[in-house]
Amino acid sequence: MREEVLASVLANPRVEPHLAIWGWQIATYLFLGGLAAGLLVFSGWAVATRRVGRAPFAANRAPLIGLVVLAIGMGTLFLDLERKINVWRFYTHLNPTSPMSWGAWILIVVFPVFALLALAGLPDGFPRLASKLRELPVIGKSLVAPLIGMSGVIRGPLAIVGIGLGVALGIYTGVLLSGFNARPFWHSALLGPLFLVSGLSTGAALLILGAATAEERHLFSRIDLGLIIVEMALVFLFLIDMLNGDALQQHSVFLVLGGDATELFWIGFIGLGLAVPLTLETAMWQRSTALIAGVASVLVLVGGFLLRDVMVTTGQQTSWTSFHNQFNASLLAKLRTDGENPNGRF
Amino acid sequence: MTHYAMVIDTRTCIGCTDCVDACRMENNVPEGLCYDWVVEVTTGRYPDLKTEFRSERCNHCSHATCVEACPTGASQYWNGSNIVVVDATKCTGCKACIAACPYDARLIMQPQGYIGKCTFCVQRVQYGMDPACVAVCPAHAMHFGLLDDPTSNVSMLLAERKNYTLHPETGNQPNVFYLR
Repeated sequence: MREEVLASVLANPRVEPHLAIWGWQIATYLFLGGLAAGLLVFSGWAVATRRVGRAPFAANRAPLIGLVVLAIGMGTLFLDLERKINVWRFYTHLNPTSPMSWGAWILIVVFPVFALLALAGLPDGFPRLASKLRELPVIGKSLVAPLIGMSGVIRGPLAIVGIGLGVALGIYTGVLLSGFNARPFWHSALLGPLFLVSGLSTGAALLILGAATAEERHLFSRIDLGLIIVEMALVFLFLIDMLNGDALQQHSVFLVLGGDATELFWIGFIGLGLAVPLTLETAMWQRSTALIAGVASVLVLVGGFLLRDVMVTTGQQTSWTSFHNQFNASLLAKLRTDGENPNGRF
Repeated sequence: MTHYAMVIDTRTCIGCTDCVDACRMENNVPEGLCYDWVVEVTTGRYPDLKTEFRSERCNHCSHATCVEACPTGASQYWNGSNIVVVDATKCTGCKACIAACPYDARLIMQPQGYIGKCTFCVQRVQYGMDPACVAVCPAHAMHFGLLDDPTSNVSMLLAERKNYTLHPETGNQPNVFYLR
């Protein structure tokens, strides 16, 4: 027998759940970041391969939507910071060993490329917005109109850069977690590709929802089908990787194989987020209908969020250390009447 | 690199948690949080049980994953030593270091929001004093000093006595040693 009990108190998420490292903000950010990465890749692909006519929504409208999605994602990332006033410090330093530092700099490069691609798509995608922007006082004629013109000229090279940056953004959202040797459940290099493919899949799903023509919808339905199959393969490889890992990883994977996150992972993510859309999109291989494609896309989006949520929540519950806390907080709380956290002092 | 180490004698430690109190006093740790903690480890099978106390804290790793994970350079080595400190003026509270620490030794300072941790009491060490927890230990179970110096208290104890570190397999090269 070996039992490790805390004789004092440890301010630790696993002793005090409210001290959790990352909550819904990071899960949402990873989801929206992946979604934006998917939109950037597909929009760049549509432009670079001259599919603007066949995939008008992806080429013209998706960049602006992706830009908004990414901005919201960065907003939730900002909400997660405990000391928001120092947020600018991300851009006074590049730490090559920190995936988060890489991510911060990738985001700063992605934004202008995304914005220029959005401007290039504006005249065809959102003509009324484009004309309004052109008529803005002072900057309309002198700045916006030339920018739209210029982005249209360099659209091709921009699209290729966008594909590269989209892939980098998508992989980074996974590497952000897998870079932590201290959290056994995250410590698998498969998280990078898994989050990238999931991001591409959610991006395709949003393109299906917004598709301008039946042809475009069908195109991205087929692409999404392939991505879902790859994603499923990566998820199972990840589980096999964990089951064949060291004792800590074998132990941690049981959080999704019978533990707290099992229902969310298997019913929510694998079932509703992957298996059902897979079935629906396979059924529509020959002819797609807007309603069924829409349902499948919404499920893919929900599944994409659930993947991030399960990974973020479950990963931080795993650690090298595991103590029993001799103070049962919930039991002690019943004995105390003044509302003080019984774990707060000893 | 100036190589500091803490050596804790589990044979004389009585688990009084005075180190935790001393740390709170010295470092003004917000209520409900702590930079160090005491673990009671029981091993064996009844009636052959053995208990030891371990006063735990940041291991001031020579290969600190928290410093590697910090995106802003707020987590850093103090003055070219292995003492890991956080520069609160650079810390964004992104919590990457909390996720990166295999010993769960980091915490969010309330209400300021930057990340707090054991600093080996650099404010005392720079004047040649021991960290508060070491200075106050009533059982004289804790020792602090330079590993570079073979005649230092800690080097001699480590040379003479069997010792271990926590989870050396993390690759972090922890520098808090426990004497058996």
